[in-house]
Formats: sequence, C-alpha cells, structure tokens
Amino acid sequence: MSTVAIQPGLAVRCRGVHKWFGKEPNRLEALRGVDLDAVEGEVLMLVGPSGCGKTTLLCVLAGILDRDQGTCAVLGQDSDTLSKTQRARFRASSIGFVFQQFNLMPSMTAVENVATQLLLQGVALREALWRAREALASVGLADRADNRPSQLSGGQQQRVAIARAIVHNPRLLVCDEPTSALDHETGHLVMQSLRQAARERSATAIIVTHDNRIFEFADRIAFMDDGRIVRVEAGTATERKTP
Amino acid sequence: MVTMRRHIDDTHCSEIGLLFIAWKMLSGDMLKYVSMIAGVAFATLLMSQQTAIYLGLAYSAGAAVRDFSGDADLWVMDKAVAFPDDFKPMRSAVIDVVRGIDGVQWASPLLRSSAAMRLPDGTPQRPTVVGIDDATLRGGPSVMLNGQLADLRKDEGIIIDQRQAETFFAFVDSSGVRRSLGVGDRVALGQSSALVVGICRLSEALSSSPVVFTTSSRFRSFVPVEDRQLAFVLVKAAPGQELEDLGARIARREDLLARTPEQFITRTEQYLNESTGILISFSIVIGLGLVIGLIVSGQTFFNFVSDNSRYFAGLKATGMTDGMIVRIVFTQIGIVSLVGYWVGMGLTAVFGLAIVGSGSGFPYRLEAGIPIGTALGVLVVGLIAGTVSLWRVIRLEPAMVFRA
Ligand SMILES: Nc1ncnc2c1ncn2[C@@H]1O[C@H](COP(=O)(O)OP(=O)(O)OP(=O)(O)O)[C@@H](O)[C@H]1O
Ligand SMILES: [Mg+2]
Repeated sequence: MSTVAIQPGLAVRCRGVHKWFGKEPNRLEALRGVDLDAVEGEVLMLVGPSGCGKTTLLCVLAGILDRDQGTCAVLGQDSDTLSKTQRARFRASSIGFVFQQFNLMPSMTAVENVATQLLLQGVALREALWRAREALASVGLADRADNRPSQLSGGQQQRVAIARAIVHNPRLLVCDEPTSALDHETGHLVMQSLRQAARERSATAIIVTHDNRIFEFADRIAFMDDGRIVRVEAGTATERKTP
Repeated sequence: MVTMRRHIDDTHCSEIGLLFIAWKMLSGDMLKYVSMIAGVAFATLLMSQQTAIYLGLAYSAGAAVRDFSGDADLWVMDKAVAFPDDFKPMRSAVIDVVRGIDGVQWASPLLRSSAAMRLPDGTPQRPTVVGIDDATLRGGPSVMLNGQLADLRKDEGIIIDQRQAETFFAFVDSSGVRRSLGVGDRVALGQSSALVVGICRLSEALSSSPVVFTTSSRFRSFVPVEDRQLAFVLVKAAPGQELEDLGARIARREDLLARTPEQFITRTEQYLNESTGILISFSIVIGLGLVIGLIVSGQTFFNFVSDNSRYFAGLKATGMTDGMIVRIVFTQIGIVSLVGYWVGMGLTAVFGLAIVGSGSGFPYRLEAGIPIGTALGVLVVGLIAGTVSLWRVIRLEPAMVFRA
C-alpha cells in the first residue's frame, strides 16, 4: 500500500479508505471509500445517521482499527508503517481521546484519571499528578481534582475526560459523541471547554456527533452516509467566537 | 520522521506509574481483592500446614530410633522389622554372637515385651516394658525431667514418660485427687512390684502405646519367661570400621539385618507411606489446596479483569502497549499472590504456635522447605491465573471502548 504524500497544513489526509467487518457471506462494508482532510488546528465535526461508519472512521484514523484499503496520513504518519506497539505509543503521545461514556476509572480521583494518560508515556508519577491538576484547572475543575467520578456530575466527568485528553498536549483530539450522554446545557458547557482546550494547544479536533445543537462549535462539518463522506460544509464557529 | 519514530520507541511507562495504575484498578473492587487474597491464603495454609503435619507424622514415626540410638552406629534386628514398634523377636543368643563379630566395639540388647500393670488405684494398663543394658544403660531415654537414668539400678526401679504419666498412668490417689504417676509412686508390674524412679521426656511418637523402661536384669522379674524378647541389638563399630561392611558381616552370620539409625528412620517413613496411604491422602489434600486456590483466586482474578475490560480497552485505545498490559496484569496477580501468601503463611505459623503451645504432642514440623515449596505452588497458581486473564486482555478490541 502506498503512503500518502504528507501535505503541510493537514493534520489528517485520507483517500479511498475502505473497512470491512466479518467474513463472507456476512461481510459488512462499514467504510466505502472515505476521502477526508482535516486542517491543522480546526474543529471538524463528523455527522451522519446511526451506523454510517463514523466511529469506525475515528478508529481507523487513530490507528485502533486497521483499514483494508486506501491511504491515510495522520500527523504526517501512516499507521500502516508502524508496528502495533509503535502505534500505541504514537496514540499515547500524539492523540487525545474523549468517549461518549467518559470511561473514567471509578477507583481513581479526577486528577489520577487525568494523570494516567501521562503515566502511559513514562512521565514520573509526581510530575504527572502535578500536570494533571493544571489540566483540570484549565477545564475549570481545579476544586474537583480530588473527587472520584461518582462524586461528579455527568458534565464534570466529561470535562475530566477532556482534561485527560489534552494533558499530554496532543496534536489531534478524537471525540466520539462527547455530549450525547449530557443534557443540552451541560453539553454546551463541555463543548466550550473542548473547543477552548483544542484552540489553546493548536490541536486539531475531530468530533463525531448526532447533536446539531453543537454545530456552532465547528469550523467545518463533514456529513457522512453509508460509509462515505458525502459533503463538507463550513461551520459558523470562527465567526461567532471571534467578536 | 526518523527522529519522531525514535521518540515514539523510547517512551516507556515507569514501574511506579504501572504499579500505580495496577493498584488503583485492583483496589477499586475491594470485595474481589479480598476474596482473591483469601483464596491464595487458604491454598497457602492448606499446602503448608498439611505438609507440616505430614512431616511431623513422618518424623515422629522415627522418634524411637532418634531417642534411643545414643552413640550406637547400627541397629540389628530381624529382617522383617520395618519400624521401631514392630515386634519380631530374635533368639536371645544373638546378643553374644554379635558381640563376637569382628569390628564390633560393643553391643547392647534392647528387650521388649508387654506386661500387665496395675496403677496405685488399681486401674489396669498394659504397657510395653523395655529392658536396657544394666551395665551401660544404653538404649534408654536421653532426656530426663526428674531423677536420673542411673536411678534405674535402684531396687524395682522403672522410668516412665511425662506425657504418658499424665495420660495413661494417671490415677486417683488416696485423697481422692486424680493426678499423674510420679517419682516415688509404686505400681504392680507383671509378677512383681515396681517403683517409679524417674520421669523422662520421649519425642512425640506416632504410636501412642505406653512404655516403661527398666534394666535387662529386672526385665526378667516383670515379664514371664516365655515372653522375654530380644527386639534389637544396638551396636557400636570399632574405630575405622566401615559401617556397610560391618552390617553385611552381621547380617551374614545370623540372617538378620543391620541398619544405621538413618536407614532405620528412612525405612520407618517408607513403611508409613506404603502401609497407611498417608502420603497419598496428604498429597491429595495438598493438591486440592492448589486446585482450590487456583479456582477461587484464578476465577476471581479472571472476573476482575473481565469487569475492568472497559478500562483496559480504554487504556489500550489511549496508548497502552501490550508490554505494559502484561506488566500491569502480572503486577496485579503478583500483589494478590504475595499478600495472600503471607497471610496464609502467617496463619500456618499461628496454627503451629498454637499446637506447640498446647503441648498436646501433635506432630507438626514447619521445615524451611515448606515456605519455599508453598511459594512455588502459589507462583504456579499465579502464573496460570495471570496468563489466562492476560490472554483475555490482550485479545480485547480497544475499539469496544467507543461502543456505549
Ligand atoms: N466490530 C464490528 N464488527 C462487525 N460490525 C461492526 C463492528 N463495528 C461496527 N460494525 C458495523 O459497522 C457499521 C458502522 O458502525 P459504526 O459504529 O462506525 O457506526 P456509527 O456511525 O458510529 O453509528 P452510531 O451513530 O450509531 O454510533 C455498522 O453497521 C456496525 O454495525
Ligand atoms: Mg458511533
């Protein structure tokens, strides 16, 4: 498989990406030739009906799932050229993740959950905890650092997850429906934190969502259907956020 | 890109960091953590305690050999004898024949027979009477608690064991108080009367039949003629004698068997294992300990890992390598095994102290090999449980963390 030319200014560049699940005769084609670019520093939203392949695409981008066809360069790196361990280390250092269900370890406090991301990279425990506290402060949770997830509201938990996703200053943020477990108002707050965190670090954010009420935070919106990107529109975020 | 790749390769999770994650996960489910520890501790206790009891039994089987060997080099006995309490009498002339064999420095008889006894209050008993050499008192008890071995030469003198004095030989005295037989008490033994002149301490023996010590010459007055038995001859080899040669010479001359104390003890333990199935039943219990430990702690550990698969998947997605996962899982099973092992060994020791402290004479030998052997057993359990659970985590699809 050939490597995509690295294009300056592009955090993600995918061409003709295919992904199949299962074996014949039950084989399912989840991605049917995805072309997608993400510009460095932008907030790109990925929307589309359920089952159209959004999560699958995120996983392929992040090197969690192997693509079956096509080319894909993420932060100048083609995951096909990396071993499984190298891909894991690439994710640990360069990508931040936010999941729909937060996925915080219940026995860890907020600051410990955030610090875990740094521990994966070999940062010493003391420094990791200290940097985690700063990341929590940057999402407005300084006073909740020592609470466990069960003592936090859904929105607070998701902001802890955002702190965990940005604590290692990744260049790419990958978020799967970060607001769908939250009510509208809380989702709005979480999106503000997310967008601000990405902006401060000049990180690219790719956010899968069903929730058209958060479109206002997008620089661009890519519409997906049946395993393909069907259309990309400019969002309204930049105009609205810059007075 | 090359420099970037190198940077990626060089990042490692520190041991402290891993330990932190492993411990936080483990302590997140205290109930499982405690039951895993209980499983390992139970297996440890069962393995080490049963081994200690078995070793204690095996050891006490050879207690008589240890107690009465003194500085003798060989025990001469009938070929069929397999353990010290085995009654296979030899011709009484054997003692003189053995004394005449080249390379024998001295030879002392050990006579034994059972005789009827009546305690001061009239209670009947039937102890084994052991007659030892008058002149040298060889083959007698080595630890005296009250009186001296030489007191045996006093008129009608006998010596008994303290524990047996408190049990078999306890009686109700003239004032109506139940007490143990002691020095100065008089009993009826065989056709004569006997005076307790000393109390000795015998090792904890497997057989618990009562024993009375006396001299060979007085033995004759306690035991009827037809019952007089030469059970063993204790032999000291002349300086420079090869024990093997001497033993072979004795065996040839009288169609007997000569064993060193060690050989006799080994044969006794072998007999114990073969004739009683004791080794098999202890092995089964010890094996059960291992299996139960494996099932309880292994299964719980597997459940623990499965319960945490969502977090493991999340860690994998966010950049945990398989190498780190191996270290985390084995750190977790290692913590469980280590804590469980020490709890189990602690219980084993407490159990042992309680037994020794109770003075019941229950055989218990916590030898140095037991903690090591048990640790190996726990290690095997941990490796199996860890590997099975690890296999599950390694196969986890990190993408599952995206599914609600
Ligand atoms: N591991 C898998 N094995 C088999 N099929 C899968 C697997 N993961 C996803 N699929 C299928 O691939 C298709 C795309 O799934 P995907 O999760 O990417 O959709 P989605 O757009 O994220 O949907 P939703 O909005 O409901 O989350 C679906 O038909 C799904 O059933
Ligand atoms: Mg999805």
